[in-house]
Parts: sequence; structure tokens; C-alpha cells
Amino acid sequence: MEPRIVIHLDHRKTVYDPGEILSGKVIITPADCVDVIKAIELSILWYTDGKGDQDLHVHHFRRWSQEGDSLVPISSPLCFQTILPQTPLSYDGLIIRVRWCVRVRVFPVKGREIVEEIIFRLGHVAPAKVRIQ
Amino acid sequence: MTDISGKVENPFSARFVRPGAIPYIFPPGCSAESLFQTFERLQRMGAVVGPHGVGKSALITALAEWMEQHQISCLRVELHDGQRTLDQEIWNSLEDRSEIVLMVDGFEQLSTWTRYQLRRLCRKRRLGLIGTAHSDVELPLLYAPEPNEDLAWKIVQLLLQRGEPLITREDVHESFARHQGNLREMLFDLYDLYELRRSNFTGHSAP
Amino acid sequence: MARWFRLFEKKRGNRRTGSERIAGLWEAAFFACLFLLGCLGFWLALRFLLLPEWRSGRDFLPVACKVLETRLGTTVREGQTLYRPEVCIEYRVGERVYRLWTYDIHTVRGNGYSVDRQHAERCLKNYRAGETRTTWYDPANPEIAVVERGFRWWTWLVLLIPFSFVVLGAGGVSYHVWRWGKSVERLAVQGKPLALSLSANPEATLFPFVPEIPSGIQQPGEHLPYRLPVLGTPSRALLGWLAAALFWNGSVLALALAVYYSEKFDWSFSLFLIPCLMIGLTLAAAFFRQWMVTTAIGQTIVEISDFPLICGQRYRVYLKQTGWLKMNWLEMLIVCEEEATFQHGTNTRRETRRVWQKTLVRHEKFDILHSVPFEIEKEIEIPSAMMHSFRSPHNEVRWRLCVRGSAQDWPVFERIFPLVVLPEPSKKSETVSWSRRSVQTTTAGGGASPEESGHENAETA
Repeated sequence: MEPRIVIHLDHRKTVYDPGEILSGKVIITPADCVDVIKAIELSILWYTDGKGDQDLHVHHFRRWSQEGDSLVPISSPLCFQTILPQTPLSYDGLIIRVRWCVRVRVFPVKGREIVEEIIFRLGHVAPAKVRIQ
Repeated sequence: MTDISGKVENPFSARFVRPGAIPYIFPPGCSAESLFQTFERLQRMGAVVGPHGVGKSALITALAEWMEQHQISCLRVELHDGQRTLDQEIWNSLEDRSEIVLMVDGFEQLSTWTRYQLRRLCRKRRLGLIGTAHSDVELPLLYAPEPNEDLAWKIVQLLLQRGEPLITREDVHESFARHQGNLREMLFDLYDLYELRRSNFTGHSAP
Repeated sequence: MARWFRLFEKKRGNRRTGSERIAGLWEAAFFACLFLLGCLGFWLALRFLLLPEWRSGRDFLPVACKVLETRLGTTVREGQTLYRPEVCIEYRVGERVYRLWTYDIHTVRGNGYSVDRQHAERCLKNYRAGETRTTWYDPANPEIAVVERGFRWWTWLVLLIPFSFVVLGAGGVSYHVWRWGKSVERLAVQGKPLALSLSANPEATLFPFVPEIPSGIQQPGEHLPYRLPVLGTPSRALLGWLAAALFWNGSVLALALAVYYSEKFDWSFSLFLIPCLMIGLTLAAAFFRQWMVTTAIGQTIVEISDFPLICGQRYRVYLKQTGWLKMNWLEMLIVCEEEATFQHGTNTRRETRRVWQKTLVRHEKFDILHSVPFEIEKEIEIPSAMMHSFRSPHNEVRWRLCVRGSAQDWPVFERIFPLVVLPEPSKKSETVSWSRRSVQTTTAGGGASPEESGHENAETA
């Protein structure tokens, strides 16, 4: 059975202040699919979107693997926590967007990887609208 | 990126319209396979010729994908503005290989001397060579994309599957005519139109 | 050839190929060769054209001589017959009588030939055998004497050719010497404020992906604490036009001289020279216009009460426009722009969109004098909830102050002053309140503030 990814942000927050702690957990269901997972990657990152090429920067990264020391304990939720940076803030521009997200990538032993992500906002920048004064 | 329904904010963003992001739509009677057969007939040398934004890069991306699926080795080289020669490492890698198909996006940018050297090397090592160019470049013509409004509308429909149906056939007609067949510029134009209509659609407001 | 060595460094996407240092060395060597070639040309022109003429006009001493006979001197060079006037004179210096064939200093030195036979014959008509005239002899060597002195106008024009090589070569070498051994960041703050570069390690800064503050910004102002650097100095454009005009006109002159000295007048080649000459004149006119614009419009100085700026806060801005102008209008705007770059293959598409703009100053119909520059101080507010300065490889949000003006008889000019705007500090979190000192040390690499600002916005917001 194909694993499913559920990402929970603590306190169900969707907007964070710069410097605030972002925490949450990743739950892989069903719990008995541990044998079919090779590794899990969690990234807290921002990327740009719009009319320019996409830029991306990973702020926080963690990998749980079946190989080596860090075995995947997927029976219990995988917790994560990071202090968010001051910049760049989430932004809805006219031709540029800056998006923050928590992205989880599951690598099964067989088949294609599964990706799930949850978007959150950093800061309180208003959407851009042309204003000439 | 995507909301809960799987829709994206703007399906005309650069990452969705760049070559390879959507499947290449071949005209009737033409396919990657038939194009490869033509390429074989042309002694494995050919040029994809056309003006800016007609889909030359998209075509060779589609062709490269088809070749990879059929276990035909290919090496893609993307040249940028003003790049008149190839890196030494590419020359080195070509010296050691055979039967590979070299795809040079922006072939005409190379100097005449480099183009000559490349053609000579490809003949000597039995390498295939496909180049994109805006005009004739000493390679037999493999394909000349000729976009039309129907094709433009098909591409837009494909892109709109990721978003809301905020662009109409009439919009495509106007934008295609305005940009004189330059699909890339047309799609960037539709980005703005989609953004405008989306903000009205979702009721975005300025602070 | 390109496979054996690479003269210029190549950029492939975000990655550069080849050694930057070696590429720089090749470029410097190329410009050094140009410079040396120019110097050699200068020396040759001086040694064999200008200096002999100058000496014959200044150092040679007059003495009476008797014209014995005249003749049309000829020689054949590369299958072409050349002519020069020759006068045989007899003169006495001290106890010794000298007799020689001469005309001007070039004749004495064995040159002075031209294809113009008629000109040579006209020159000879001025001399009659048996008449007494004045000759000028070299006091260091009385065997050298001339009957005609003075400069040929074209010898000065010849100097333009080596001069253009010297200017281009010296400019190129100076540029490379200036760049040598400096990091990209250092170059950005010293001479390229446009390249507000990102920190090599975004995590190390308090404000990742906010362009760094160039050290140039820390130049103290005279009226307000910080003087802003201007993007793209006009002197660079001026030098560019000068180099282009000299190089082009020098080349055209060389071609014109070749036509002048050729035996057969080639109409087609002369017609080809006409458009070249027109381009040369246009370049010269462009240079003079740029020069006039630079000198007449004068310097634009913008100073600000604090730097970097923070969203939601107020600042004082001071504008000073010097020059000697009758202004139609002058305005200063603060703008926020987005710039997105899409690159694929040979196509690089850059789009800029202005998201916010506010006119801070606009004055119409007034005069600016040398002794009385235009000065004004205004308050600006960066709106809260605006996007801060942001820069990633393909996307940028930038803040700028633009000074634009229109003066009588001059084109509209615009000068851009980059700003760095930081986000509004959060009121909730303790860690996000920042003081002026922390901003300075984290984003400007520890540079000291020129003045501890007493402005109310300078402290924790």
C-alpha cells in the first residue's frame, strides 16, 4: 500500500513572524508501511514563482533513512522545529512571488517518490498592487 | 505553489511554461519517432530552425526525452548569449564517445570555426548532431516549428488544467496576433492577464 | 584555436568555466599590447614626422643661399611613381661653402614624396635659378638645410591613431589593475554600486537575501548622515564615447591617408569613406553632447538621515542639484520595482514592473546657477507592509530614489540612487527587534557608521 504523508504545523498556524519558532510533525500512514520506505526528507524552504526562473533556498533540512544510523521511526510522528529567518518574507508581487513551505519527500523502496507540502506565510507583507502617488 | 484542490496560483509561471514542463504537441502526422527517423535519413545531422519563441528548445527537449526512453544516448548542451565556443570538458567527453546524439540549443551562436570542428568531430566519431538556430547553419533542415493559433490554444488549455479557466480562446487569439507567433511572449502576456483576472476572481485587495 | 586557450572567461548559467584569473591576465595582456602598440606609433610619429618639423622651425638658423637649379625628384615605391620638389642651393656657414639638393626637412631626410605631381611642380615654380633666398641650416650639422619650414596639417591627425590605441590600452590595463586581486564583493562596493551583492552565506546574515549595503553608502553626508551612491556614473559614458570616437575616426583617417597617397584615385573607395566619415562625425558629436550634458547638468547629490531604511518608518532626504541650467522641471521619486529574469538557451528575458512609486519633490520652471545650486529637504515614509529589498539569482525586489529633470536645450536626465529597505520589525518577538548597530554589523560586514544617528528611527522600532 502506498504511504500517505500528513504534515501538521503546531497550533494550526499558517502565518509566522520572522524569528518565530516553526514546529510541527509529519505523520506517515499507514503505520505498518515502514518496510516500503527507504528514506524521508523534510525541508523548510522558500521558493520564488512568477515570470522569472524559479529560485529556491532550503532553510532547514532533515533526512531520516533506513540506511546508516538514523533509522526511520515512522511508527511515531516525525517532529521538526526551526527558527524562521528575518527574510525573505512571503510576498505576492506582480511578477514575483515568494512562498514558504514545509515539504516532505518520501522515498519508497520501489516506485516513485511521494511529495507533500504545506504552505505557510512568513511576515505580513501585503500583496502588491500598482500604486503611483 | 498549489492549493488544496491542486490548482496553482498562476499556470503561466515561468516554471510551467519552460521547455519540457508540458508535453510537446506535434502537428498531425509528425511525432518524436518520425522526427528521429528523418534524423537518421539525414545522416544523423539536422537543424531545428525558427525564430524566437516558436518552440525549438521545447522540441529538442521532447526529442531528448523520447530518445532517453528508447535507450538512445544523447547529450544536451544549452548555450547562452554570446557563447561562441564549447567548454573543453564537452570536447573531451565527445572525444571518448560514439553513437551519442549531441543536441546543441543555440547552435548558431558558436563561431563558424567551432561549428566546423563540431561537425567534423561528429562525422569522425559517428556522433549524431542536432542544433537549434534562427536561420540556416550548415546543417540539413530537420524541422521548422510553425506555431499557429490552434496550437497556442491547445498549449493554453493544457496549462489551464492547473488553474482556473480565466483565459479564453479570444484572449489567445489577440495575444498570439500581438506577438506574431512568439509563443513564449504570448504565454508571459497571458501570465499578466491571468493574474489580473485571478485577483478579481479571488477578491484580492491592496493594503 | 578556441580549444587551445580561451582569451575571455565564459559564463555558463550560474557557473563560470576556465580560470577567472587567467582570463583576466589574457585580457590585461591584450590591452597592454594595444597600449604598447599605441606608444610605438606615437614614438614613430614623433620621431620621424613631428620632431624634425619642429626642430627645423625652431632650432635651424637662417642664412642667405643661392638657388643653382631646380628639379622634380621621383622615386618608385610598390610600382607607384612618387614626386617631390628639389632645389639645389649653395650657402656659406663660417668659412665653408655647402651645396645640396633640398626642399623641406622631409626632403633632406630622404622622404617627402607624394603622388601629387602638380603640387610638386607648383612648389618648384617659386624658385628660379640664380636668385638669392634664405635657407635655414641645422647648427648642429650645417650640411642639413631647408628652404621651406612649417608643419603639415595631416601629421597631427596621424597622432590620433596611436592616441586611440594608447587610450584604449591604458584604460583596459588600468581597469584590470584596479580589479586585480579584489573579491566580487569588494569590487561591488568600490566601483559598482549596481551590483549590490548577496552575502556568500545567506545564513550568516541577519537578513538573508537582502542585498548587502555597499561600503560606499557609508560615505558621510554633509547635510544628512548618509550620502547615497549614484548608479552608473556619467564619466564612464563620457570615456566610452571618447574612446569610440577616437578609435573610429583614427581608423577612418588612416584609410583616408591611404587614399590620398595612392597613385590612382579610387572613386568607389572614396565613396565608401563618406558614410564612415559621417559615423565618425556622429560619434564625435555624441561625445561632445555627453560632455556638455555632464558638465552643464552637474552633480546630483542625495543624502538620507538613516540607512538602511525600515518599512513603516520616516526619514529625511536631502537633494542637491548643481549645474548651470534653466530647469523645466525636476523631480525626485521613491520607487519599488520587481525584476524577473527568465533564461533559456540563447534567450534571456528580463521584465521589470514598478509596484510602488511616490513623488517626493517636483519643481517647475526655475534656474540653477553655479553659485546657487538647487537644494531641498523632504520627509519620506516607507509604507508598512511593503516588501523589503530582496534579491535571488533570477528575481529581485529593489528600492530606489530616482532624480529626473528636464532643462532647456538638454535631454531629460535621470539619476538613480539605490536604497536598501528592511522589513518592519515584528512587535511580538523579542529576537526580531534590531538596533541600528546590529543592522550595520550584520549586513555591512561590520563597517562603522559614519555618525551615530540621533534620528528617532535609528533605535529599536
